[in-house]
Amino acid sequence: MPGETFKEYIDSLSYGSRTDLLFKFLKNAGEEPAEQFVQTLLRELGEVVDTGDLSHLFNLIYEGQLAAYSPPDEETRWKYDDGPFTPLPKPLSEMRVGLLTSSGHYVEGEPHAPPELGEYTQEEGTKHIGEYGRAKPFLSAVPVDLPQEKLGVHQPGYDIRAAQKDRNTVMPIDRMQEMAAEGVIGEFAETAYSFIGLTSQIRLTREDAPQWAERVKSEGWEAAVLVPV
Amino acid sequence: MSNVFRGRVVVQKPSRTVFTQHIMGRPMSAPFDNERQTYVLREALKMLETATEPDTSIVLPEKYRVAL
Repeated sequence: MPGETFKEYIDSLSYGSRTDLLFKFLKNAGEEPAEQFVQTLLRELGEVVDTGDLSHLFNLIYEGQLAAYSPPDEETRWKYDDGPFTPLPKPLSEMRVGLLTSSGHYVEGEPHAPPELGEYTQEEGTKHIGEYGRAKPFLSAVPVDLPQEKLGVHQPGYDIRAAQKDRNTVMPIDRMQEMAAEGVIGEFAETAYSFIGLTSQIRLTREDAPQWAERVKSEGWEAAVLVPV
Repeated sequence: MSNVFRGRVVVQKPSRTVFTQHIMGRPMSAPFDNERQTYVLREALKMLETATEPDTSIVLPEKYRVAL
């Protein structure tokens, strides 16, 4: 846009006029690191023209995200002096193990977002990001024998393109099935769960997560694999 | 989970965490990289079984790649 500054440009990538959930980190990164990122990106692209090697580009994005999402200590909001720990009472090969992710997967045809938000598309969701942050956490039950094509994904907090192509990038249902078949785990619980990680963290911590824990315990889960996006 | 969030996560003292050097939104792997998915999951299950104290974590050394 005429007269637009570089800062306005990178700000627009994070829930602005040019939302891009893979590169929204550039707003967090700040103006100077973002400038360096773009310059390096162009240089690496120039290398790719000759080598075809994309690994440097992947690493550039990873390193950019790592730097942008690593907060200074004083800015870390959720900080605890100690954490929970429960040793396994028996080998995993004798246990019923469940899967829970924050990827926003849901069964096609069923609601995919908290009722108070309506059924926004992924793109619409990025325009109502504040509503997700205040909404009641939303949990979807996913039968683990559900085929990939019956599984949708809605989560305006991250770039869902990989999750849409292959659920196992964030919700490793097929790999868990294999672990059960191999005997690494005793059993894979027949219902996996997924929620929209972009939600009220206070409500999640104080109200919903404890209820979800009781729910999966009642379904016989003895251990769980949690996959945050 | 992706190591890009490690700074935010370790201070929360989760009991066991496997971090991958993967781009956000692809903590297990790139699409259809079944080998990497299996590897990451095996590491997670191994940690689930062998960790003896809270706040146990590892950063896997492998970099993000696309499936060939």
